[in-house]
Formats: sequence, structure tokens, C-alpha cells
Amino acid sequence: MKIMTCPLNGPRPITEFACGGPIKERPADDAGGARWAEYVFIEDNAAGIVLEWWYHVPTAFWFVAERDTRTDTVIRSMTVAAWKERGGRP
Amino acid sequence: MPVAPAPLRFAVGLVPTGAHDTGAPTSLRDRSLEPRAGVKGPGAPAFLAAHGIVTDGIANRAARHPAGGLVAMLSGTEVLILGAAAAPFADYGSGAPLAPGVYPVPRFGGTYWFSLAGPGAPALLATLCGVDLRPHRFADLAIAQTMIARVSAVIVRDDADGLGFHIVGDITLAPYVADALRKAEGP
Repeated sequence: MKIMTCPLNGPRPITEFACGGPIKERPADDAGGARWAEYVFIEDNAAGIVLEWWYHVPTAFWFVAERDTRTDTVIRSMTVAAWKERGGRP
Repeated sequence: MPVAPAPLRFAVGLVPTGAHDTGAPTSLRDRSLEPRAGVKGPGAPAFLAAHGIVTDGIANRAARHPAGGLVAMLSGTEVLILGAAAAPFADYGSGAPLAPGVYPVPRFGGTYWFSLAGPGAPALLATLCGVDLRPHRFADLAIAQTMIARVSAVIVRDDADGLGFHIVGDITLAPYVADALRKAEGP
């Protein structure tokens, strides 16, 4: 069983989580349709270490995880507040 | 006793409602007709304190209330109250804010409440849940907001009357969870 550590609930089976995708820079409100379409629909699919939104389904708790997509290894997870303290950037 | 909403009546009776069988390795009991309530929001701790329920703000920990029952902290600002201590909050079903930043969670009509007791309870739950609920790993009054048989549930260990667990989840899943627990109990 693959285990992921939730900042609120601790180690849990990966089946309790849903991935919200990589954290991306949000466009300005007036950035235009093409830029917003890219933001919403296009993923970089980067091979390397990425920051992602993750969701613990039973508690409806969103948090941030750092994951190496090459090995599918979660390096660390943190609350949104902790992520913002680190600068809050993708 | 408050009048049970229709969905609750539908779910009640899936498992026995009487006292636990203390001689059995596991004993499953339906407590869905007993009081329970939920309160959440940034103002919830102060609101509850004004009503005699003082919380420590530590998520996933429960405390026994002098009036009976448990006060379970699901997060720093959300509380699930099980048993007699929930009775004063039983009318909070309208969904309207109770105070600025304080919102009711319709636990009585919206959730089932089973309790599972006995020395075999951790082994039974291990067949349905990925969290290690063995007594030396999951302390008395610990909470796991997790999944049982692949559906969400809140599990609270409560050893007030011997090793036992409260299981609370969405009322519409009560028949499924009851069936899964009964099958896990075996013949």
C-alpha cells in the first residue's frame, strides 16, 4: 500500500487522496482567453520535482506536496499556510 | 428524544441498537437515534465555550464531556459532539449561522453512528480500513478521519466501557457500511 503523509491527519493510504495538479502562476484577470485557457487546460507534465495541490477526501483538507514525478516519490507535504510562509510560489 | 428525520429512520435498524455484548470478540451497535451535533467555523471554539464546551483546538483528538458523550475536534474550528453533550445543540438543523462565523453541521439527520466494541474490534477494522487502529498505535480518544470499506468515515476510539470505537459517516452510506462491518465480523 502506498502511503502519503497528510499535514493534518498523518500517514494515510494514497486512496484517501486526490491530486489537484501542479501549482501554477495564476494569470491576471485581464490576461486574455488564450492565457486563461492555457492555465486551466494545459499541463507542463514536468519530469522532476514539482509542487502540487493535494486533497484529503475524508476531511476535505487541501494541502501542498512536493513530489518527484520521475520516481513518483512524495518528498514532503505542508499546509497551505506553511507553503505561503515559504513564499507561496509554484 | 428529537424526532428522527426521514433518512435517519431509513438507516436505523441495520444493526442492533441495544447494549454491547461484552462477551463477544466484537459487538456492533447502532446509536443513530442518540444525540449528536456538529459546529464549525472560526467562531466555533468561542461559541462552544460560551455553551460550556471548552476545546483545546487540537485536531483529531476527542475529550469526554461531564454531561456524557464525547467532544471530537475534527479540526481547530470544527467539532463533532456525540451523546448527551450534543443534546443542547439538537435543534441546530436549519443551517442558519448560530453566531457570526459559527455554522451548524447537520450531524443528527445527516450521519449514521455505529459503535464497535470488544477485543476483536481493531482486527475487524483492519480488514476495512488502512489506518493502524491497534490499541498501542491508536490511543484512547484519538480520531481518524479516514475511509472504511472505501468510503469516508470518522473513527473515534473510546474506551469508556472497554475497548471500543465510534464510527460516524454519511447517512446514505449506512446500509453499505453496516453490511461491510457485519461481513467482516464473520458468521
